[in-house]
Amino acid sequence: MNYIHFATFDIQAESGAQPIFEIFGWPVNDTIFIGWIISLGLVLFSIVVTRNLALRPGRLQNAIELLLEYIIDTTEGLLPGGGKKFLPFIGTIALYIGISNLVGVLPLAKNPTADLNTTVAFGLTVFLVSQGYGMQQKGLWRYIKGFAEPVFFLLPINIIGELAKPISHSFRLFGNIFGGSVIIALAAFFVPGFIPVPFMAWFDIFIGLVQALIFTMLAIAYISVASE
Amino acid sequence: MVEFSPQVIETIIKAAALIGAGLALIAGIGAGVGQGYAAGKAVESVARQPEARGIITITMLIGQAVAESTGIYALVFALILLFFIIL
Amino acid sequence: MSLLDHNIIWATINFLVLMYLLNRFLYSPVMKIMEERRAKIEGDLDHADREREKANELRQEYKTKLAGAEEEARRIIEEGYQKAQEKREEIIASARQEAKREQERARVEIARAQAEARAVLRDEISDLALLAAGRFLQRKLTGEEHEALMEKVVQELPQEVGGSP
Repeated sequence: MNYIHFATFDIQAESGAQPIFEIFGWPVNDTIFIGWIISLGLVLFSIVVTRNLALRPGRLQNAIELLLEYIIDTTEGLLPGGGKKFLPFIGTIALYIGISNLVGVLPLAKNPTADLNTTVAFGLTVFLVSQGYGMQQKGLWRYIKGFAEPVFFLLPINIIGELAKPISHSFRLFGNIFGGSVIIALAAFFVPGFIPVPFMAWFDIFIGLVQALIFTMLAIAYISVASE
Repeated sequence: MVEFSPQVIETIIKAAALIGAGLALIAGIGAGVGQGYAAGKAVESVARQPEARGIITITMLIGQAVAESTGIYALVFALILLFFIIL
Repeated sequence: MSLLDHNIIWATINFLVLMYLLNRFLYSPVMKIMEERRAKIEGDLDHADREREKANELRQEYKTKLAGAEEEARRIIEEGYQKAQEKREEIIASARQEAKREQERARVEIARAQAEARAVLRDEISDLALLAAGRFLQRKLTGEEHEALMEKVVQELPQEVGGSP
């Protein structure tokens, strides 16, 4: 019956998340595991960097300070008065997602952000933080009243709009990175033995960095919008 | 009433999923037009005010990312149809 | 196959733990050192401001002192000049006086010498005249005659001898 035999492309094995081991009977995806390795690397790196901080900074310390200053300034621009307060949150999002998006260039490493679990975890955390900060800044009554503005019957639309934010937030990142890795895997699949460097440069490095920037900026913007 | 064997039904579902994936990507038109429009406006702004290039670029990228959402949803649905329904 | 399953829990835990650890090991120390540096720079700037203030004060003080010293020097020079002038005047005056006195003395001396010379001359002339007259008369004049002749000559003499000194 099969006159033409198509080579089968297993998207799950190539780009999707695969459970690799279990903890307490709950399987852990390889993407999540790579995320743990990235976290561990980040923590070790920061321990090494901050072990000998000096008032006269070295080159590495200078770069780190510049990065943190940039994050604080950007946050301060969208969220006045929140630059230092949100540095751990925003900085962790920026560092972790940036490195997760870039890690795809390494062979055998899947992007943790190509797994919807990671991005939804981040999106939900940003959603909860933004709502909580808005509640704290505006007070409970003004926060609730904010959903019924400008007129009362927009209440369901406002709520849906608010709930759509984390979904679009996490799906945007997931779709970009997952789509990119699928295209890279397809290119490698159609031309065996070819490492798709241009695709990797575009999808992993450029798109990855832009998406990390956008995810971070949108997180700041959501917090800022919810608090005013 | 015509009875279909499970194999036929599965084939129909697969075909429908593939067609659906193809159709879903039509949404890319909207995202593409929107992003192109934003990029054009950003170029105009940079031509008018070259010193504000950095902030214009960042604003453009964020706007494009928001405009991209629909296209990305379509892509995600297409991928789900292609690889998660068929398999 | 599901896109979203319990792995979200692992991801969330990962995120929260990473945030805690990075805050502990990266953000807090770096922010602390930046804050320290900021405080140090501020302190240094303050210190520099204070030092400059102090230096300015000192300079002002020196300036006034210098101006005073200059005034003093000028005053001393002026005074010295004044004194020297006075001294000069005095010396000149005394010199002039001395000269005048000298002159006076010289004049007195001259007068005295003149008088003496005149007396000597008169004696000489009278002797000479007496001699000449004696020769002329071929005899020695007697006392009375001599006296009389003497009187006569002396009475004519001042017009000839005193007229052209």
